[in-house]
Amino acid sequence: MTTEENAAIFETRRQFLGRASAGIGSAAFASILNPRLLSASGGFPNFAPKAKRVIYLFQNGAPSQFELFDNKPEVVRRHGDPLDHSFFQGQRLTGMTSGQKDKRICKSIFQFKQHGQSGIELGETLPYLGKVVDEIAIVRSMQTEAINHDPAVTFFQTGFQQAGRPSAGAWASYGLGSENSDLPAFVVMLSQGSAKRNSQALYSRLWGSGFLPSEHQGVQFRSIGDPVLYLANPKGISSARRRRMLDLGKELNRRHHEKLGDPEIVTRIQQAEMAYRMQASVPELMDTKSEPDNTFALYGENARKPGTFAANCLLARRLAERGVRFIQLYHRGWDHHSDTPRDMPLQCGDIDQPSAALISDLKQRGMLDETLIIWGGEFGRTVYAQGGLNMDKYGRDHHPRCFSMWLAGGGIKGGTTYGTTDDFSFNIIKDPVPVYDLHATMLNCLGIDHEKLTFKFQGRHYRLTDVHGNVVKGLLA
Amino acid sequence: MALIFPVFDFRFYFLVYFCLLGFFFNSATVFSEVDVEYDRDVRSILSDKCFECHGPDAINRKADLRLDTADFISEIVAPGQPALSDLFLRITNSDASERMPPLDSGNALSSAEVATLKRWIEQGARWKKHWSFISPKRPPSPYLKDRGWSSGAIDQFVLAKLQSAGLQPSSQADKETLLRRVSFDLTGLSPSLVEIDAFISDSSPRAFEKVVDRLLASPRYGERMALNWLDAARYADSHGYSLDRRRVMWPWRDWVIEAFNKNLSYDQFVIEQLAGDLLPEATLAQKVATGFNRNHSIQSEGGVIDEEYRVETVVDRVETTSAVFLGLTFGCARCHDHKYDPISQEEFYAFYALFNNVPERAHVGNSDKQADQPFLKAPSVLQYEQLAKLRINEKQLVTKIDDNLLPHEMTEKVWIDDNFPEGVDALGNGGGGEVFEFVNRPDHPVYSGNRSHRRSSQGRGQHLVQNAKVGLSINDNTTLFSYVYLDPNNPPKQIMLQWNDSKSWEHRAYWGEGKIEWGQENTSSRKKIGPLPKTGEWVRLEVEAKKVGLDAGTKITGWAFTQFDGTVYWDRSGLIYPQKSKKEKQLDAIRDKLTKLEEQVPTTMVMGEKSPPRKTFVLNRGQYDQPGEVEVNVGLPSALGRWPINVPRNRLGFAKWLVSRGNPLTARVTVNRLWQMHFGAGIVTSSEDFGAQGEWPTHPDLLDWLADELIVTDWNLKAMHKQIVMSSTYQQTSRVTPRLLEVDPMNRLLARGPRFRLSAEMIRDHALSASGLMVDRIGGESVKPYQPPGLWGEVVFTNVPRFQQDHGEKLYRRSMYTYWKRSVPPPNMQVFDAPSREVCVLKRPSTNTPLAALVLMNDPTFIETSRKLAERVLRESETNSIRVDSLYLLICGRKPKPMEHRLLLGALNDMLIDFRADRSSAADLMTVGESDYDRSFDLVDLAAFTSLANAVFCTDEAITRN
Repeated sequence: MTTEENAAIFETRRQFLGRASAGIGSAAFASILNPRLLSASGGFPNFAPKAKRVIYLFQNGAPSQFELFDNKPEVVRRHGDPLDHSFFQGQRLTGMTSGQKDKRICKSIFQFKQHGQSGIELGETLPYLGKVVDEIAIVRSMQTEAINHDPAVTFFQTGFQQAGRPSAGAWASYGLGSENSDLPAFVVMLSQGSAKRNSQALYSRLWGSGFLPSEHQGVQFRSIGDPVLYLANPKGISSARRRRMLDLGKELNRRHHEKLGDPEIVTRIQQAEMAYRMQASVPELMDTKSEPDNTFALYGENARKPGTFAANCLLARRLAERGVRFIQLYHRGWDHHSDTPRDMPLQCGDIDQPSAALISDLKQRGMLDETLIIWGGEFGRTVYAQGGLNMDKYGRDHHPRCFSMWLAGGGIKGGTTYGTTDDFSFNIIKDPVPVYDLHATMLNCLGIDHEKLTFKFQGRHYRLTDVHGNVVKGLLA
Repeated sequence: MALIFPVFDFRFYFLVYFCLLGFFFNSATVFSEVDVEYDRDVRSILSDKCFECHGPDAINRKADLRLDTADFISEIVAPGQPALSDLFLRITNSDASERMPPLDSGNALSSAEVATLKRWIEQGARWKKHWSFISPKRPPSPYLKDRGWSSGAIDQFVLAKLQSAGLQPSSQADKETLLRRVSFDLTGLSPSLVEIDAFISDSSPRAFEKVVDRLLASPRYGERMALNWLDAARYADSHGYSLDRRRVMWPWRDWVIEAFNKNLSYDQFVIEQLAGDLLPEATLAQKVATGFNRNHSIQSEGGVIDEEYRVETVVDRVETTSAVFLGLTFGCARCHDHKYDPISQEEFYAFYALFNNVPERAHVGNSDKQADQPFLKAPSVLQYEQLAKLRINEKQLVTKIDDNLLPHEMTEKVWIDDNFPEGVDALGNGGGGEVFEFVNRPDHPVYSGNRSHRRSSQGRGQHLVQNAKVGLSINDNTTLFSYVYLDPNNPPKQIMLQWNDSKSWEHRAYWGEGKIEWGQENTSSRKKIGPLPKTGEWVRLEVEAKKVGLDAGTKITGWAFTQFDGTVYWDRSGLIYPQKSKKEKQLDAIRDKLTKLEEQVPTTMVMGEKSPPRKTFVLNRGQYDQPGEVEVNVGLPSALGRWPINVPRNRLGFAKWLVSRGNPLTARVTVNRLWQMHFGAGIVTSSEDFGAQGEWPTHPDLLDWLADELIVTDWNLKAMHKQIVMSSTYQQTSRVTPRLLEVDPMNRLLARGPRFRLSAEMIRDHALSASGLMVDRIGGESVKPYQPPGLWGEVVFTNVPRFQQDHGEKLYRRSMYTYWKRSVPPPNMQVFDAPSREVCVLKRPSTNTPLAALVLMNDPTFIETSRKLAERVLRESETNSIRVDSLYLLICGRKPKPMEHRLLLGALNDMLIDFRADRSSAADLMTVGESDYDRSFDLVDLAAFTSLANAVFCTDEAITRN
């Protein structure tokens, strides 16, 4: 046998192990390198998955349920009435309105309309979503524990309010690995909202891997500069030159491996090769010029502008086609403490058409069934107006007790609503869905038992749902 | 050709692995003829599978049965007789609904685990306290025959284990490898060419020891050791959380470097960081050291409830302190009794009370200037020296000036006479019915020049100048003056002068009645100087600038003339001050410098104690707004020991207990991390967890021996490092034979030398230093080298500043000085597993990803350093053949083998041909990075060597210490 043939065999094994270590579900052989993985391995997926991947359209800043998903006629009737203290039942208020003496009930200035066979009501700023409403399930009874952005977003993304835990996408990557050897398993894209004044911050920990190995962290695909950090060769180094440089490195590495025998060196060769392939595959993926005009008719002309939510939705579809496991979008600009009348149409203008387009596009490609789409923010907003009751400029403070999100695609029962809030969308009166339950349901759609996807760190078996979480059966098809 | 790559039958080796090694580790193992030890083999099973319901947590305990103390043995175990033991019967019950652990717990016991428990009962069911809670005793080192290899106790312990596994140690690594290994381990940098030459040519038996002594004495040592400490202490240059704005904590970081460099004993290192402020007559440095527990994130979001995050801050201190110094995860006991370790919820809060008394708020505003209380000014060494020198000069001059009381000449500066100063805004209609006007002789009185300005008013009237571009400077002893003429036929009731110091008009002097109500009577905002002057003649009004709150150094940018009723003429206005002597001017210059320097002195956050003390209560479910009723006092978890006598119940007492013999953990945890630094993994691989869920030590006796050695050498870190790197164990070659890869893939038995990837910082520092670009200044403000555009802008809050890259030498400082923004850590280090520093990290992962390969390939830092390395070899060597050798030596620390040499030279020649045909690409490549290139070299040579250097830097060997 020649050295090269042996090398090929060895590399095959390493690729296998490489993939195994990228996802514990792949093979118990990972235990050759790390016997401890044996006890953690749960054989993922645990049961037949309904969705192969997730596209999470996170709406950063917290969109209001009153204007979009939770129509409240009683609020319209009681518009302007003051709320007395007893109404709050001990609910914590943020430092922004806890000192506001006069809290008055505030109606939405936007009308609600029924759509589709299901007749689900949506705010008038979501006409495109109305057209696909029979594909989506609206949860009106989301609830969270945090009342400020940072802890609330961190909670949604990692299952814990404080920094340090892996994000949902990292868990999915850890559990299921990647289906594409040229692209990462977990991809993140950001977009600025048109209501720029209200841009709350984001933090890379939201797509970080926490205590999971860092190969599971989300890789940000960017519209400014290189689409993936450091992807492009420097000036003066063409792809052919890079190839020659890598060939030299590969040969030196190979000889070094002959001498030392450390399998890590072979992995290093493979990762450099994947980097080289990404230099071609990522720009190809990001270049949407080859998309036909009807794609842009579907997603809207904004999809031609890199960095918009529309462009990112189109890229999400292209990533889904290429087998990326978890695609996370963040759209900023929803923190409407004031100026809801101005900013709500702007934000909905950003997201309405492309979100609906993503659903229709995946459906026409036969991929909606295997893709779970999640849309929503980090908490809801208050029934009372923050500051005065000026209907040209009103806004709402943070409200964690109930708010709305929607899900669509793989495993989800379309054309339904789930959960009920009281007349003031202040408390949930039926079927609350804590964040943990959303996580448990999401993992369930991916074929994962959320109690089995664990990682031992500092002596404890951690999971995305901590010690909580129930699959929301009512949302499942 | 010989078989080089082994082909494995996985299942076979899987079994071999367990058969040969199983008994060394606590895991689901098949036991051979070895005794089952409760502590090593049984507790880990019970902890993992049973403690959740039958452990230390009293509230969630089921059936009132606990398996974490010895009591259960008498209750449910019949020593020697599994068949009579309830424990065994329950775990083997054929009725699944009766069997423990319950089916739905997900904690089913494996057959191997059942077998272990059975054997333990058979062997007599002996119980022992968890090993790490028993104080280490110095074990005798094993007596072994193989004295040739072993160089001391460390090697004896390692060899004993190897021999019992039927293994032999590996031979010593070659000199180049060894030098590179120890240089990275002790200084974070590769050896220089001179250092390589010196070591290779030194054939004395002490050659290696000389190297070790040199490295330990290098100032780079302190930087390298600080690197790990910054992760542990979650040090960063931003506050974290949502706004994540700038903070200044680098004086603390510099303290750490200095402490390592001067080899401050580790016990003192601990005491000063935890409680330096409480030491008698604490020095500035000792107070700065307490920044350790102020490195936590601080919230700044608008709607934050202060107490919620103050509690998070205190919890963070508990978690960090317990992990770093005790190797325990106290955090679990915040909401309930610890599930695995003997720490009750109440004990958690007794510990928490230590850190709950800082006079702090948990909210910094949306501004870069704010430091959270308590903080202090912490000049750098250089600043400190400069300040001291200036203060001495100042004092000397003051004495000289006091001796020199000669009368001064006066300087007069006229600001307003026939005209207003240039570039002011003049306003003339400040009430009173009429606007002011300039008037001439002979119809009107004029004091000097050709004009005066006049105004009549009913009630209050005013005209003024303001917003002067060039203001009028106030000096020491300045007197302001204006000439005034009151019309005898229509005198005012009051006149007032008013000055603007560019901030406000709150500087007023008046004469006559108190009709005008601006300002506060008898303060500098409304000062009565005297009665109205005589009418019908020019009178000079004088006001001492100090009296109206205008101190030396301020500038007047506006002057207002106000009256109540009457007609008033104003003329010639300005100020006079005594001219300064040469000495006084010198003094001013020095004071000026002092002021500027003091403004530059950084602040740094420190610990402090609130008075009266804040009370601590158990927080129900760990919630900040659910304090229990019973107050908790400072204390230690009883499993760890007793609070020592004659030591105060505060942080200082706690710190002293930490480094006392009464504490079983700190010395072990510390040497374990030092070991981890040199071997890639600790003797306890879970270096952050020495509790029941932690890993069993691979070499328990060695760990205890090292812990004791640290204590008896008075916690001398440099001595401990020396002892470890001088061992034969450390100096083995890292070559992996197929047999070793089969038998001990993770190298837990140390039959070969440690081999692992360099840390993120070391990789970048290595590139900078090999290229000659590195600026080796220690400490100071953090710097912002290259990073891709737009990274901060994509995520930060609307009005938070964006990244501004530094230039010049700040691009080439060691990586530990790179500005660390928690929400956007330096991306080229993050891919090499550098943490965000939001929480304490004691062990970084070491990943191997395509994103990391991209950094080495394309980050401008790595291209620029390749360029400079190319220049360096072109400059220093004559022929390309020597140059490729030297390039390889600089990057990989050894000369290439003949085959490698041929490869490199071949690749170089290809690149030369390639760039010769494409000179413009060669020129383009030279523009990457901000340093210029040496134009005395041919572009083609530069570009070809640059590509070669970059290709070599992308290899595994370049970024690994072998």
